[in-house]
Amino acid sequence: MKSNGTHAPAAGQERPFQAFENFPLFRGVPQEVLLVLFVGATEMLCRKGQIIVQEGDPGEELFIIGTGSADVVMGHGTAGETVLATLQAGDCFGEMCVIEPTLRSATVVAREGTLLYGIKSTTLQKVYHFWPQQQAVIMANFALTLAERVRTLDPLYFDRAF
Amino acid sequence: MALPSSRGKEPTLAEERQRCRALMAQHPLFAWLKSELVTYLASQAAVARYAEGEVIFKKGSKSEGICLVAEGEVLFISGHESNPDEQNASTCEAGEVFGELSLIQPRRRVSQARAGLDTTLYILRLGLLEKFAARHPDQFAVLASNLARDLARRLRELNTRRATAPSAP
Repeated sequence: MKSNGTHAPAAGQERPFQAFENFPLFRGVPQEVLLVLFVGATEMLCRKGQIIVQEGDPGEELFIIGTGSADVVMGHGTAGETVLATLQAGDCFGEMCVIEPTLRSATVVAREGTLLYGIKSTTLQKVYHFWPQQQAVIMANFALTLAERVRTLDPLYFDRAF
Repeated sequence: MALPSSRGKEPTLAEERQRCRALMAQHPLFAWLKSELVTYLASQAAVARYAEGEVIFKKGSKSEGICLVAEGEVLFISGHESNPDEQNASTCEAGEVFGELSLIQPRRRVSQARAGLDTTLYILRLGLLEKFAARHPDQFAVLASNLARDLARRLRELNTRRATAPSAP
């Protein structure tokens, strides 16, 4: 596990690998694959108010919140600033950037001291190469997460999608 | 369900498969799939025809799989709180797909669907998709990625619309 941030978590306080098992994104994924994801992940601890990703920036990493919370904001710092969602532990963001090359669609700001795991598209490509079935499970989990978010904004979508 | 078509000569099985394959090849849900597997799925698709006004599925019924609208129009009538009068809430036209979330989580239908016009559907049934997932896990991962990509784009559009919508007075 690489560390990239202001602080490293205290050793022995928790077993992050165990946390991976509980993330909705990895529901149903076996331990050997979780281990690959965990080893390839970057761990970050962000301060309250710190910008994690910036709208318009390129990105190739998705993030999962280990502990803490973060706001997803469009037009951050402008008069038209809109908070789209508040994400909690277990939620992920930046997933679009690992599915296809694209710019960040919103800024994400830590609401408090927040522990994050960053997973690069190259790590997911490794999973696809060696465990395609598990990549399908992860993508299906992704889709379910996204579908629930879409449902809150467009209830009629579910009328036709199921 | 599955009334015989009243629109002249029935297409042959080969023609139906060819048309289904062509529709799939144009739809982003099936992008990046191996060509021979698109052909395989198209060859296994069930064909269903509905007369205008006929019920395609009822609210609460089990989802059957991914449906491609080959011709006609499907109306989805929901009983959402936001739509208490049960008006036609949304439509699916020729070339479009519905039931795609059943690929990852079969659920009961939350709306009723009716044919807005004489309608032909190609249905990739759940059993077929399960077999496909077991035999071609890498290609099933591609399908799931395509679905996630479509949802991510949809979410992005909805968020942008929400952020740019004029605020209420």
